[in-house]
Amino acid sequence: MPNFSWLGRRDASAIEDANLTALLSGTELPGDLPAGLQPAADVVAALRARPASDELVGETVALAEFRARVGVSDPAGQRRRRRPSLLTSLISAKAMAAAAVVAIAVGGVATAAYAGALPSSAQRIAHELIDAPQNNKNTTTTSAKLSSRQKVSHPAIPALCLAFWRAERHGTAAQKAAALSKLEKAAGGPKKIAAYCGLTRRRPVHHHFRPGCRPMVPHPSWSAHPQPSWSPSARPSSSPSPMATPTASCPPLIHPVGKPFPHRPRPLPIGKHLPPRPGKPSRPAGKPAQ
Amino acid sequence: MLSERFAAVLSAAQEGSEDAFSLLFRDANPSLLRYLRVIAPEVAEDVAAETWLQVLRGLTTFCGGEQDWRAWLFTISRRKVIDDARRTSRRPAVPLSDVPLGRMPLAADAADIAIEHLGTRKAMAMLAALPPLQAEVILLRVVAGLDTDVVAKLLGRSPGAVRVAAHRGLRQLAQIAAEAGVTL
Repeated sequence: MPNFSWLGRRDASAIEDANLTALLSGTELPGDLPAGLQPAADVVAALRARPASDELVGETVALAEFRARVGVSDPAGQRRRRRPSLLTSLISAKAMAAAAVVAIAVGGVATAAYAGALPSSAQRIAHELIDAPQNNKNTTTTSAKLSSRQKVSHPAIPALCLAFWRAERHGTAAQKAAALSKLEKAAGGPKKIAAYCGLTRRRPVHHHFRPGCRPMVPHPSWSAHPQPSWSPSARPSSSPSPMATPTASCPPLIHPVGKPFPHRPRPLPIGKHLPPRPGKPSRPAGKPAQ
Repeated sequence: MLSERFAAVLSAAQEGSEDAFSLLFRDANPSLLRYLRVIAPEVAEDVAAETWLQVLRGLTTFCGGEQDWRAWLFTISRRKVIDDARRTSRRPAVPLSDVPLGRMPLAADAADIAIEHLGTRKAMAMLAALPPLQAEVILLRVVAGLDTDVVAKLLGRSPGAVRVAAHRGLRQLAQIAAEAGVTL
């Protein structure tokens, strides 16, 4: 009589592998975790614990650098240094169709369009192309916000939204409740928060991790009707609405040490440093593509 | 991770919102430090700071989803660790087998760490006892939140090899934790 006990062992192994994969991904375990693996689950949970205060060091320095490079304290200097805004591009008559499609791909301006926060001319274009609201909700306020950039709240993301997200992740329960209360009041109710914060549900678009990768070619099946569904207690959907991935025209992948993939780097020796290579200059740091 | 909020927050940060950048920093920096404190404990904070400086140079031109963003961050930091190791002379390193579990191989002030976060530090110490590939894969999957395919590209391995290393690492972690009787 053939012995098929190995089949049972193989099934148990497959279940264990599925459980381990779920542990790594942070998703729900498909089955019961064997008792012997529970310590591993405890380790994983500890690795995912909330940030400690010493893990937020460096924020002040990073913010100072952010203000110097991205934020603006000198509006005149900013006009000289900054790249043309996508909003400006939308207003251009000749480029309006192509620019609007690029704006959709970038995403940030799309959310501004759906929140009715673009300048009126751009809002009309967005209405024709992607069925955004026709009228700008708050033209003068948006213009005023864009022109004074000492501490900017993005027009599509009111400061109360950012404050709530910050409190939710790093604040106490009382801070989170207070921020949520203010947000609900401003939005006009908990069900209106998603629209107020300008969030839409979309399937994550996985580009290769190349800074400066700009989607260039519009895909004909992009959805024109996003379905905002975010709420403070919402869970990520397991079946997001389909949205085609735009074709990207991007520079080739650059390996972290400067060689193109599929170069295989050595795994880093934990706690130790690699010995210096004799006679070989260090490689230049990778730069984001322009 | 910011999940469905990421696109909006990134866009706001690229337009100059300090609040949005602060959210990006606070979301990613703890993961970055936990990764660096295992693979390069002596230079973790310096490398993290240099990573953010480089990120800021390319922030306004970055394009991608949250996986791409995190992959970019960790790619930069990993490269800086390698560059730092090649620049400095050999340093005497305590063999990992001599580091008792529970004694964190970290430069931070252990006395100032809140009791609730001792579990994280213990977990990181246990990871440091694993073979380098297994530890790094688990860090990138669990702490950095990167998918198997992204980790494979970052490390120059096949997705299958990454999966095998991660699973073996978890099994070994379970054994280490059980044998040491460590409670997290």
